[in-house]
Amino acid sequence: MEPNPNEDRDLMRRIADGDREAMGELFDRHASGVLGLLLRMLRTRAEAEEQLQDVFFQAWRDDERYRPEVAAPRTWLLMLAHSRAVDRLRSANPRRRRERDAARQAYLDGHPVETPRGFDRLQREERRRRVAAALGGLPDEQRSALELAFFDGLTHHQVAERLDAPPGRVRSRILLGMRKLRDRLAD
Amino acid sequence: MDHDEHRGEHEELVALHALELLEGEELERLEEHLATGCPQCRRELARRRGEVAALAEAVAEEEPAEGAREALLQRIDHEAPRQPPRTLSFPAAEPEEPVPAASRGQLWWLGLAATLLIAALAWGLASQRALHGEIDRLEARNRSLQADLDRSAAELAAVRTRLTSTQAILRTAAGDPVAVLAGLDAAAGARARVYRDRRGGKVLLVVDGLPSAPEGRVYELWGLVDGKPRQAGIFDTGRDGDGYLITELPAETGEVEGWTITEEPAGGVPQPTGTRMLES
Repeated sequence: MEPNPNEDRDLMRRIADGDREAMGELFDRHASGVLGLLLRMLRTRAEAEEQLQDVFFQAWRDDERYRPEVAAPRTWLLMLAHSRAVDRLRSANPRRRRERDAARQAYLDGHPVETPRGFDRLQREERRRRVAAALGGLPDEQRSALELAFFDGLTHHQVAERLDAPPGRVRSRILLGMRKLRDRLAD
Repeated sequence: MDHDEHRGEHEELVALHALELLEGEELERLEEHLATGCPQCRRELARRRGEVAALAEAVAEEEPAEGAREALLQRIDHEAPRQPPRTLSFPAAEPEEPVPAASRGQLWWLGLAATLLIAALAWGLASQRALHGEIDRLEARNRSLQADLDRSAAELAAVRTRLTSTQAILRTAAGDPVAVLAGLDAAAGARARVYRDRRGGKVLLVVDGLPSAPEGRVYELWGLVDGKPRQAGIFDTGRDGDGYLITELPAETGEVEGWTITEEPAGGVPQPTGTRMLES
């Protein structure tokens, strides 16, 4: 089913009222997108499936943290999944995870997460195609730095080590890559 | 740190922070600044995070395993029965105070323990004896964690009940390990067990007595097939030296002749390069 952000927000409202079936519907709509991201990052299916369960369980348990005015439910779920996978890849200890989680939430309060203009209205496959094309169109050195940072959860020093390049240069590549990506997605 | 004086630097740090790339002193500096409530930087961060979230859409979707939805709903029923209904305001006129991270966050390990037990059960590990030791250790861990859990006695009692019932289920479903690993020189005293489900693909590793990997490092599990190491997943241990890994080997993987755990750079490596810590 093609996700509709308004219908998703209705689901979140029902979830806030304790409607577990609404959680099931949210899972039907977005589990495959979230699992795709987790599998890409964590690489093993069992671990990705385990984290998938945890992401949706967290979405249920911490649903009061969801702010409809801040992010579409799908964006929120993907951000939860990415953060969890980064922590997993970096083997963050529980205390550090809690601190990061609290910090992420605090900074988001009241400031809408703005996906690129018009992006939420695109069909799912069109979104995928567009981001993949924008990413694929970057110069190799920028794309690989961005992919290692985003999908492999490496810090920029680790990216620099992996690419055998000075951290400062890697940092510039990442920033430049993000800026180009932003321009291309907004086209 | 005044915003206008450091505008360019802020923008750069915020963009890197949206990708969760900052660490150390820079991270502290930016977090300190964000904590002052700087509206420009908070707005900039929300914008950059939106772009980062869009990156997640570049990946092809994957259908979850059969039964995943039902497993989620069952877990919800068992572990998080809903509190009295609230009503979300759309948009929220009065932002609510976020739940303090400590009250829920401290239950993280209990949640992990319950997840581990449920996952092992779902995979059909047979018979009960071999995991009693791990269950006892989990219970011991629960007791020490409970000493730290000072805010939510009612919630904690509910978790204890759920964990106990999950353990009871697992006692009827646990199997013998396929391999036992002993600590080498770099990890004397550590030991680990590997369990596999009957169909062979799913792997559960349970480790104890292995100190946490140093900063920027992880442990990596390898299965030896035809004399060559096959990547089987990365993990770390907690303060008490216990660790778990739930992973799988590709269906076409042949017989696993042995298991090794090495210490590697964060994120893992395709071939072992680091110190061998445990071996079967």
